[in-house]
Amino acid sequence: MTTPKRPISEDDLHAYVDGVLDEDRHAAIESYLQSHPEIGQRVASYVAQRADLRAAFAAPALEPIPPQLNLSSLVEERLRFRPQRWVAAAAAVLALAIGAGGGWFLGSRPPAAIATLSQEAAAGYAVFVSAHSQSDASPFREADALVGWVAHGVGRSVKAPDLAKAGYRLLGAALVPAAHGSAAMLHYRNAHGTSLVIYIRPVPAGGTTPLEAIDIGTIDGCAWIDRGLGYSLIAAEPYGRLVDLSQQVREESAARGS
Amino acid sequence: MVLGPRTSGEGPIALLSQIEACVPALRRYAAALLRNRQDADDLVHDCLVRALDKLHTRHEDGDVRAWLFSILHNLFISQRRRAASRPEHDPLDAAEGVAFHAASTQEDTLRWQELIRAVDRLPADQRTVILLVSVEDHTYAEAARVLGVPIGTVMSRLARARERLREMVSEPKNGHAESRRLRVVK
Repeated sequence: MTTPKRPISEDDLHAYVDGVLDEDRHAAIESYLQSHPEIGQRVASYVAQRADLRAAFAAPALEPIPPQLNLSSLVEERLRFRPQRWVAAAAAVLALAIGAGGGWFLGSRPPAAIATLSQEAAAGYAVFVSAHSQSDASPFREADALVGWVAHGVGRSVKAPDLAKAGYRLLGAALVPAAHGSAAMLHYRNAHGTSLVIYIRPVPAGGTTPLEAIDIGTIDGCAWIDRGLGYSLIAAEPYGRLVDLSQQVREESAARGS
Repeated sequence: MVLGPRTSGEGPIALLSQIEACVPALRRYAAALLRNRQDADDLVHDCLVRALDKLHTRHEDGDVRAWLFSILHNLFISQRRRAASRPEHDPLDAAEGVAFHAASTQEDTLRWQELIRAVDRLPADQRTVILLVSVEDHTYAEAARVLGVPIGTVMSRLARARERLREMVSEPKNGHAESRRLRVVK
């Protein structure tokens, strides 16, 4: 009998029912209920009621999640929805590019997979840069965090390469529809305001190819395939510099070993 | 496997995984509130879309589950406000048509149906509290946050809801209910 006992409150009874009391208090309530059978009966009925409620309402949480509540799909829908205007414009440019025929490539003719990959990337870059060259914000900024999740959802390993050493900072990313499923479009910018875009998507034919130079008109780029993932890197930089940057990306993904 | 730009435990992918883990509970709560599985899943869908919208403005300190439930609760409230002009469906009929539980025994099924109908007859404020606390296992503080009310309000609504449900369903017509209770209480 050292400290006076705290009086039992109605709140205590409910905390007892919900099992959230500490051990001492729980024991105190228990003995109180034993010595007050009427209240004990009421509390016992609350305990039974709680168990019945849980059982009565349990089913919806035990069923498989329907497709419309699949979080990966919702994220993907959202990413597709946001840059919609941009995607439509890119598709138009892409159609033009394909229509224009073979004027895209320098040097030896790259494999068809590289050609398609480069056209998609170039089309995206062209629209992207013309639409957003003045703005400091990337149109994809919000999507940045979600790309990894989508990549996770479709079972592909996609990571935004770290180009900080070369002075490029990742501004944002978007998932865009591509010839074969989805593609990630990553947007970087350096301190001088130069935009750099990396386009990544699975290449069904797979394999690994050497770096190819691609020419998208006024701007150069590089494209390659690395273990089934196609890459295209485009920026308004001298060609030699683009090759350096591309090698960096390539080495980084090799180091990761995916 | 590398997943994305940021893969740390606190990163967006971890957050999305936490959201995904809450979907079954959100469905259960929405179904209990709305009494119609399709409407409930529509509400959860809207809740998830809203959560993705708010992902980047979310304060990092809060609990994901309470955050999601409060989004769902607010959507539910505004939906109900919009529907207030329309005639309300008869919850008694709806309770019959909606399977909330896998029937174990005939006796359980009847008792649960009676309980579900009783929950329907609770005032909305009490219904949300007893569902959050008893079914969803929210702490009192969590429930208070979801509903945007003080903890004291949660406690008094909970007490009234429990007592009212007890009056509505548990008065034994014979010794049956009594013996069941003793069995459940352990």
